[in-house]
Parts: sequence; structure tokens; C-alpha cells
Amino acid sequence: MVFAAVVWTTCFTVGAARSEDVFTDAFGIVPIGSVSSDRLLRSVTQRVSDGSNEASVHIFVGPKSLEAGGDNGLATAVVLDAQGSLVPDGTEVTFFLDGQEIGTIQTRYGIATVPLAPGSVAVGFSVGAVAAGGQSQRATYRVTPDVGSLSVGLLPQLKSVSHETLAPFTSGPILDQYGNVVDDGTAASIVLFHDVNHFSYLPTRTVRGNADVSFLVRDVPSFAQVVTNVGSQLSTVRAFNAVPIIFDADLPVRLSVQADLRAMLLEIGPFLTSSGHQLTDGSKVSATISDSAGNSRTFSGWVQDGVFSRSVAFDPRLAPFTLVVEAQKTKFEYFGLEADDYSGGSDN
Amino acid sequence: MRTPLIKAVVFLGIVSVLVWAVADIYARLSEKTVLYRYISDALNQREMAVARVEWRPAGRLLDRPFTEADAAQVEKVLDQAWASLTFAQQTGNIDVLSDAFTGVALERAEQSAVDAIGHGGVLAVLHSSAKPVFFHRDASILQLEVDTYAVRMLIEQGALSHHQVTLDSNIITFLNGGYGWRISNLERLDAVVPEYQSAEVGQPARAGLNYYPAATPWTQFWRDYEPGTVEDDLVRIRDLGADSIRVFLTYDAFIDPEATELSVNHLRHLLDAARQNGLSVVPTLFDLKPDFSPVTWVEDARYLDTVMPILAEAPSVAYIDLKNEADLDFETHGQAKILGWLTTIRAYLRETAPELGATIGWSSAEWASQLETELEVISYHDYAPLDDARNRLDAVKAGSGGKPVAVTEIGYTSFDALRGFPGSPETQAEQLAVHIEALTDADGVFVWTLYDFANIDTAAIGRSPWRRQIQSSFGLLDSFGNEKPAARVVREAFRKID
Repeated sequence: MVFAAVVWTTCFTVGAARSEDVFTDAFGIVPIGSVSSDRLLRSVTQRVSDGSNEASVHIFVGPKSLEAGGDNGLATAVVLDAQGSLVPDGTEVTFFLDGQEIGTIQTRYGIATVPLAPGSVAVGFSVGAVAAGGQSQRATYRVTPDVGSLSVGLLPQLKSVSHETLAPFTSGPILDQYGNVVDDGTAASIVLFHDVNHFSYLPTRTVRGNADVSFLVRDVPSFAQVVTNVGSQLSTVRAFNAVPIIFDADLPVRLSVQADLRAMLLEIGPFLTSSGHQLTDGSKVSATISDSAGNSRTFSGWVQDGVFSRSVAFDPRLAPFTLVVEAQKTKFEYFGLEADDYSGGSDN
Repeated sequence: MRTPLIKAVVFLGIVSVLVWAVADIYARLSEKTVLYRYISDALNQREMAVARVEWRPAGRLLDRPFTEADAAQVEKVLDQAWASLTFAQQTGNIDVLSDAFTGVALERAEQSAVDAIGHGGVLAVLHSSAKPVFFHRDASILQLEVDTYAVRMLIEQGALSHHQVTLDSNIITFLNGGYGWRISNLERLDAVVPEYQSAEVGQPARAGLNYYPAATPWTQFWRDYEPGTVEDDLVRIRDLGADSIRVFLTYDAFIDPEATELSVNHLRHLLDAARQNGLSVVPTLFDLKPDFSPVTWVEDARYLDTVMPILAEAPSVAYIDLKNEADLDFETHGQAKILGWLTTIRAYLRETAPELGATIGWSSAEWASQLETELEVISYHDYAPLDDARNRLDAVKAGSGGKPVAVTEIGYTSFDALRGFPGSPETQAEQLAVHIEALTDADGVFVWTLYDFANIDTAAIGRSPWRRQIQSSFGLLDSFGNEKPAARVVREAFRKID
């Protein structure tokens, strides 16, 4: 029970000070004749609401989200009388969950609490309380899916996709053990394992229960193993197939003399694919050139603007040359190559 | 022959007046008023750091465990709340309150500050003990039962009209809205006025000396304490026939975190050395304390928490002198505030060392009756004209209610500036002999002081060269330890005191 805070004291006189009654409370001391009515009123013991003196009820819910099938939350009502002081112990507070009464609890030091069990359905709830003629606002909280029990899938690829096109991947519905769809925005990823040393990591977020992502098939092997990942949950492994790149039959090759470098410029390309596009910049190419004297050298590099070019330190007088080109697991062979602009003159 | 002398004296007098006037003007120009927004700016860091909360276990299962980390956070807010409340009530600056209070509690705190400024009241909390009774699962609401040692003081028309110490039981509700904990509700459930028994006065302290070593007086004493020097000096004091010493526990030496541990060890040594020499000790507290505002009282409580356990367990302590010449602070700080502070300190001392008696070493007999009901020994210093010494003592004894009356400082300078003015070793001896004789009926007489001081402490005496010369020559021994004529006289006088 809260006691009256009015303490009548006898004066402690020093020097010429006169005696006077005083008012004291938790915040200090005031001469009784000077204390404000508000300050005096809040010290009075009778604070129970009589209808004309409504209490104010403040509702708090925590945590703000509970996990389906997980630990309880707590709804707390802090009840103050009309002067803003805590209501007397034993004041009854009735709690409501989505309009349904869930308990009547007595206050202690102005506080009453009721546990909130999350249940198994992931949905939002609102909680309120009434006490001593006052009503709280509604506090909301959510029950979220049980992330630890999510089952994650990966839908199989329907058909092989071509390079330079987008391959779609989708997990399908991601549900917890209670059938709750995972929350939008949950972090997920789809990973393609191309070979031992290479993988493609595709982060995404769930939308409407699915983890979807599109992958541009470019400069990757035509086969991979794919898996979806949400938290610590992994889907089954699926196969991914891309249509191999097929080049047009003709792959132009040109050798030209670079007299000032005492070399020749080898130009191979443009590399045109049957899909109607050039091989993308950065695609790896290797070329092995041999002269008539039996000298041979292998060069590797990459395509730029559809063409592979390289200065090669071979004597044009040692034509004809043999050239073997490899790209995208395709081999091209050329025999009897000569430099286009070689006139047979000696080097300067 | 006389004319040049008169002219010299007049000239010196005019120069002295001019110097004083310039100093006074300078001091006034240095004053300024500063308005603070944050309590940490208004108070120095030491004042902010010293407040203390004792934690008690919850005793029941809380909805969320209350950890040490939680306690550390809440403790800061609680300390800040008390400090800012006192500060706001002292100054009217309510801006500082919102960092510790919110909602209803903030409104009430602000109202209390307005009332305090308007009517002269102030609340100071010196100590808190807290127990968590509710902690919300998401750490957004906390309730504590907090017991406080609370002082409420009312100053009306410049006089202390009310002073009350209570042990309050409070319920405090904190909200954590993402900006840190704030107090949203503070309500007092109960207030108990503690009852105390009068303490017993310890060993007799009839014939005493005020003591500093020759080389390290005042602020230097604890900082440059030399155990060997102190031990030798106590032997000399005993040889002079004294049975007690009066020493000064400088404020900074026992409150500064860096200095305190060493000072405490030195204090223990001094008390033990005194005991070994059969000397009682009258420790004088709070020496050179610069401010008496209620917002500093929590720091003073920490000072007492540091020194009182040592003094209480020392058999050589006769009684405690709460403050040296507190009346000299009346003009600067206000008589009512000083009396309120003294009453607070006396009350807190009863909590921490109820068995020790106390006095206040007033600067003159005029003030000896102040707070008489709170003290076990009445004491004053007697530097007034010698002729009326006996009458002054009789008057004080008449108003002491039968309590012992001690004169804890008498003294005369031996500084001879010009033909026995203002004093001389011979007149010093003569005056002390007469004075001690006049105070035969006192329950204790203490001479100021054992030594002359070669390096006077300007922090205590000021920078006036004249004053420093005078104050440096009150010893019974010169600064080299040689006896002056006064030493023989005091030895004989003390022999008669039994």
C-alpha cells in the first residue's frame, strides 16, 4: 500500500528562523503554506478510480516478435492514477488479445503482467488492457515462422539454357514445421558449383515465400550443381545444364608482318557463335603456331571485341605456318598460313 | 626621530590598503555566471563519479535476468538523477533533468526545482541501496525498490529553518525507450527518521598541540608524508608534556582517487604512532573543502566512508572535529548552507561511526553554541583579546549543557617585524603562559602550533607576505626544531594540567 508522503516535522531552528510545518515528498521539501495543490494532491493515499478520476494505462509488449512454437512474450501494463502516480497494489487489470479477454491480474507497484504464448500460426496480434476506468492503446506484436525448422527446396531446371541468356532459379515455397511461409525479406542464396575451384554465389531475399534469382549464363562451364540456402537450411542438389557454345564454321585468321618489331601480328576472329553473337570479351583463347623449321610456341589470352590478337616473334620467311586455336572446348586447325603482306624482302 | 618612523608606518598602511583593494576588485571581476545544459558539465567529473549504489539481490524470479551490466547502466542514471535533481533545486537550471527523468517524473522534478528556487528547499541523496523488483522481458521497463539516505533542507530568509535526515523507501520505475534508461516514476513509500544515541568521548585530550611537520604543512602534509619525521615529531610533542594532537585531514587528500590510498595508509600510520606515544588524536575533517553546495554532499559522504572506518577502529582517536573554523565560510557560502552541511555531516557520521563523539572547531567563542545539541564536545578557537579569555570560557561553559568544552586553538606569533611588533619570542611565551592559565577550567587546550613553517602554504594562508610572515611563526619550535621560549612555558603549563 502506498503511504501518504506528507511528513509533518518539527522545525529545526537555527539562529532567528521561525517554526513552520513543511511538506516533503520524494522530490524534496516545501513549506506547507507554499506547496502547490498538484504536488499536495498527488501525495494523498486515495487514488482508486471512481469513474471521474480515470487511471491511465500504458501497455508494453516484449519482445515485439515471437517465434512460432517458441518462448512466451510478456504484456505489461503500467497503471497510473489521475495525478500520474502508481495505482495502489491490488488494482485489477484485464488484458485483451485481439479483443478476447486473456486474464485479469492485480498490480504490484502499479504493474501487472500476463504471458503471451506465441502458438504455431505466424500472424500479427494486438494486445490491450483496461484498469480503474482507463484503457490502454493497443500494442502489436508478431509471431514469426520458426526459422530453425524451415524446409528449403529448389525446383528442377525445365530445359537447358543458352549462354548469354538468363537462367531462372526458384526455391518454391519455403515453410516451417507448422506450415508458416517464411517472411518476405529473409536472406537466401542460390549457389552454382561449376567445378572444384569455381562457384557462382547468387544472394537474394524471399518474396511471397519463395527465393527467386536469375543468373546470366556467361563464361561458365555448361554444367553445374545448384543448391538453395536459407540460414542453416540447404535444399537438395539439382543439376544445371547450359547449351554448349557452337561457333560458326568459319573463323578468320590473319598473319601480318610487323617489320619494326621483327614479328608478325596474329589476329584470330571475330569468334561468331551459332547464337548470333560474338564470343564475349574475356573469353579464354589459346593458340599454338608452328613454322616450317619446326619451331612451335603456344600463346593464351582472351577475346576483345570478338577478336584474339597477339604479336608472335616468328620469321615470316619460315612460312608456311601451322595454327591450332582452342576456345570454348572447340579446336580450329589451319595449315599453310603465310603473312599477308610479306614480299620476301630481307629484314631491316 | 619619531617622525620618520611614523611616516614609515603610515606609508606601509596605505600600501596595504591599496593592495587589498586591487585584489578585491580583481576577484569581483573574475566572477561570472555560467548556465549548464548537461549535469556532467555543471559538476566536475569527480563529483559525477563518486555516487554509489549498493545492489541487493532481487529475491524473486524476474521476467528477465538483471545482470551486472544492467546494474552498471542503471546505477549511472540513478546517480545522475539525484545529482541533477539537487543541482536543479540549487540553481533553477531544469535543463539537466531530462537526461535522467522522463514523463511524470520529469514534470515532478521540474516542479520541485521551481518550488525549491521559490521557497528555499533542497533534497540531497547521499547513498542508495537498490533491489530490482520487475524487469520486462525485452528490457524496456525496470522497477527498483530503492532505499536512500536523504537529506532535506529548507533555508528561508537566509536562515536554516528545517533540516531533516530520513531513510526513505522508494519505488522507482525506469523506461528504456532506445535513448537509454530514464526515470518515469519516482514515489516515496516510507520515510524513517533514524534515531541515534549520543556517543562517548574517547581518550582525554587535555593538553594538546596542533600538528604539522615543519617542512610540510597544510596541503603538503599528506602528499609529502614522511613516517620517520612524524614519529620523531610525536616524541617531541610528548616531551613538551602534551597528551594529544590535533591534525587535519585535507579534503583533496582523501577524495582524489589517485591520492586516497596513500593518504589512508599514512593516516593509519599516524594514528598508530600516536597510540605508541600515548597521544590522543583529534582529527579535523574536510580541511580546505572548497564548496558546501548540497550537490557536493554525496562526495562528502564518500570522504567519510573512506576515513571513518579508520578513525573508528583507532583507539587513539578522542573525538572528531567536523570542520575547522566553519564560521569563516559563512560569509562566502552562507551561514544557513554551512549549518545545513554540518548537520548533514554529523548525521551521516552517526551512521558510519556511531561510537565516536564529535565537535566543531569554531573560530571564536561567539559561535561555540551553534549546533550544540548535535555535538559531544563544544570547542572553539581563542585568538580574541587575552584579557577576556576566562570570561569567554565561562560563557561557553554556561551554555554547553554540561558538555566538555575544549579550546582547540590558541597561539601567538613570535614574528618580530619592528621592536616587538607584531610579536616576539618573549611575548609569545608570556602570552601563552597567561592564556593557558586563564583556560585552566577548560576540558582541553590546544596550542597552535608545534613548529614554525619556513614554507607557508599559500592555499591555506593566502599570498599576503605580511600574513605569511605572521602565520609562519606560531610554533613552539622554530623551523629547525630548536625550542623557543614558548616551548618551556607550555611544557610547564601542560605539566599542571591533569
